[in-house]
Amino acid sequence: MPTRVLLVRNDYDPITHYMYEWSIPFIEAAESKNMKVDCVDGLSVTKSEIASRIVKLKPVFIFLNGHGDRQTFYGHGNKPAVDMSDGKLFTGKIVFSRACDCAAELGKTFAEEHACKAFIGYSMPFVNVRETNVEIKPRQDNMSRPIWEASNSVPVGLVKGLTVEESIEASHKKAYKEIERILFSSDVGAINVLKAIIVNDEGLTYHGDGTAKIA
Amino acid sequence: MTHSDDVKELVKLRLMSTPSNIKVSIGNYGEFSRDQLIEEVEKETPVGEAAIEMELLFIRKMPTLAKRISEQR
Repeated sequence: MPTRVLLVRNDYDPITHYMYEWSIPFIEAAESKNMKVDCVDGLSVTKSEIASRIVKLKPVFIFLNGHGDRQTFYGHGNKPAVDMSDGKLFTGKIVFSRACDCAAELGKTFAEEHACKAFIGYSMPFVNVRETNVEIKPRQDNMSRPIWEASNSVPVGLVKGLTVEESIEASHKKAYKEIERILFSSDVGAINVLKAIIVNDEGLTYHGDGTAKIA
Repeated sequence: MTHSDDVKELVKLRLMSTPSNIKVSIGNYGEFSRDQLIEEVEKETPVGEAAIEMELLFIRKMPTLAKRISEQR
């Protein structure tokens, strides 16, 4: 039986649209490793749907994309989709939450009180920068590309067999590589991308077992 | 946290160097243009505070970044 992973993607404003589109490289990486990617997308991103999929499909890895705060991951229309009452659903799971602040309290509580194997996420706001004089095509937006590639290093690293700590280190390395490139760039706008990468990299953290891997 | 007028002025000046054709998404606050961010900093809103924190983190990180990059070269 293939390893199952659950991908949750909001898509209702510019930044969640970027999250949606920039999850595609993760799907490709997971499928190249013969994993089965189950998606909960757009309007379906609700508390009941996420709970139902976790119970039914038993994914080893859950990748959440959307808005968040210290205690809540939000679903479609900014309605709470994962909150502090959902800890038991995440027992034994590896989670990556690409959402603001969720690692700070939600992830810490899941790992420390509900035996979530590892909860990776951001303990600060997640920042994106984009050009406005082009149509929103996230994967063709070269300005924001380094922000998303650094973030994607975490879930892509995990499906390629890295541990939690190694996948975070892969993201740090990618971030520093981009920081170095941008520091020596003549593009005035790139400085904002640099700030976004620094904030996101600073906020990237985990709780639980750093040696955990997706089976 | 409130910041001094000097810090606010510094951040506003740095934001003014941002091109007008970009938007910055800061967490759950939404997307902001350069001019909107400057206004938020002036009004000391939570978005303005977040923009200030971003700038200060960037400034604080520069010595570490410079050291790491020089070590890699």
